[in-house]
Amino acid sequence: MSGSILIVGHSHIRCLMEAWNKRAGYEGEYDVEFVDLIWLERQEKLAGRQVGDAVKRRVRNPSPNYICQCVNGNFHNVLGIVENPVPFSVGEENYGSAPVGNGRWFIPSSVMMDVFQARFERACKAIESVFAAFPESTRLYLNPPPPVADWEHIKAYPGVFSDNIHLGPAPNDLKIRLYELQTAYFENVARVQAASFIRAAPETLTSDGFLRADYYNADPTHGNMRYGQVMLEEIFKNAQKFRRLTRVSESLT
Amino acid sequence: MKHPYVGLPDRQFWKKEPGIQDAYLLDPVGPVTMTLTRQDRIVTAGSCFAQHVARFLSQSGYNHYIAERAHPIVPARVAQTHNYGLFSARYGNIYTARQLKQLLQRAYGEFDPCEISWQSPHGEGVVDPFRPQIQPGGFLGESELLADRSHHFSCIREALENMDVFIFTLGLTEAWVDRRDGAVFPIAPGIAGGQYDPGTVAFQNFDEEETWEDLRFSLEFLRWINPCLKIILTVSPVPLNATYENRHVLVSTAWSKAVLRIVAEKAMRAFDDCVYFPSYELITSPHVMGQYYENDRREVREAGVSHVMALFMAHFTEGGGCSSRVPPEPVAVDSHLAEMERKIEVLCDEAAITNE
Repeated sequence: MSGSILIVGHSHIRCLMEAWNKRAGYEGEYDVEFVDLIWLERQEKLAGRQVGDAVKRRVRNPSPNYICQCVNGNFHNVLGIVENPVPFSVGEENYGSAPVGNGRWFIPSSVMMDVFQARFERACKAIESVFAAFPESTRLYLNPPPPVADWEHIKAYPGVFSDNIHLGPAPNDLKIRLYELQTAYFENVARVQAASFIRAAPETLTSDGFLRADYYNADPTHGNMRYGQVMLEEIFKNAQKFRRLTRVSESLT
Repeated sequence: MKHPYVGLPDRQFWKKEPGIQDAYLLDPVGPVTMTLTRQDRIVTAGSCFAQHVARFLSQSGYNHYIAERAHPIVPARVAQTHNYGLFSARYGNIYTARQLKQLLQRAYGEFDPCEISWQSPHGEGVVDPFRPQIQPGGFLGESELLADRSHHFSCIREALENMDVFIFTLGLTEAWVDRRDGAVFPIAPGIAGGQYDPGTVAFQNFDEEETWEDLRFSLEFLRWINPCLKIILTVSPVPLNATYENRHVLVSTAWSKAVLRIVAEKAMRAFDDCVYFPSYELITSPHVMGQYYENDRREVREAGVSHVMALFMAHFTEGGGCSSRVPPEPVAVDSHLAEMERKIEVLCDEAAITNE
């Protein structure tokens, strides 16, 4: 056994769990346990700082070697899955705004970052409390998958968004910019929490950074089981990296 | 005995001012020739005292016309942090008449200063040299700054072309000027971004003639855009924070305020529908014995602002003295955003997995 991993998060861990449940060849490598925060928060009304203790009460293994979180993560889709009734653009370093051009309400990137920060205030406390509840575990943070660029896929699987489809697609430049900003936010949270930040694997991405069609779930925002398999491997790779580093450090001391 | 003062109004005689006995009764506002309605779109600009005027108007049910708002997805407290709604557009404090003149010229493409950006004081990104503190965190680079500036200028034009009333608070005469093209910065480079290079910027203390020319140009420009515009001028009672002149800051303050007061008076006499509102006199008067200043003897206390604005309301508004504050408008939650958040939650709920 290479070690135990506790994976905690909202809907984006579903594909990981599916992949784990239908695993082949993972046996003997890792002991993986999941805590779904949507389910947990449905059981108990929790303030952000109480989430860690609640997770600890629910887990089989209270001392996993690794803890990986993937909390919320769909806010970029809330903002950009369909066109906003008041179309907007967001500041961007090279071209000034994404998308480029006039006629949209401009939001500077530092304002947008503060929008993310305000939205994720509770999530941030939850992340902190969950890491704190497992002080001995090596920390990992999994970034959610990038947005889906293919409007036809979104139209085919609109789910709860069926009555928003008439608004049309938000521009792809805007979608990817929102994802970049959200990623920057969580990357910073991970840095502050001394967690290794795991991005979507390059093979799951299109050349312009969107989720590749092979990894679409049958809904507009999530990755499928195949995506879950790839990202589970990424989590294992990161865990191994830490094991190797630990061994090197132990041999040096 | 017959002499020229016989029969003049009480307000023209010092000893007849009720404010001598009770400072709260002090009312130095002269005859006012205009009335503001709640429908009038009021644009505010000027030095930091203008922020008090803007805030009070916003809270009093008057139409403080905000042309540059944050997008509806931006929560109110984030918008406030980034200075949306502080003034009618995000121009920040406009301290000098030259700064006002150049802002108007820049918004209408008549002046394009060579200085585009200053390095952020935090080292990453840039700030706008003409409003360096408008946005905590600054901009990622010049491209983003220019995108925001373009939006900002379009909002300024919208404000100026649609306003009914322009309230301008004259604040300072001292400024830092770009030697290359005369562009005026609100604060010296090196304080909130950029680097101080004496070869590039020079100190200038605008006298009454220069200030008058700049204000005259600005008001004519505004009337050219908006011929029916009503103009209210005030002078900030806030003393200089620092002077670059080699003399005591109090002496520089007195000189600067004197220049601004003279220029405001000249404007009132030169332009129709242009009045002077004596907030400076009220706050600095001997009647109030300095009690309207904070302990730093510089910032104006809320009681002073309330006195000023009560008189403003009494003399300039339809209600005539009805200065009661209206509760702030409830923060409107962007309905589209709220709906999308609800739906994402449902979507994620649907995707929920149980571990039991």
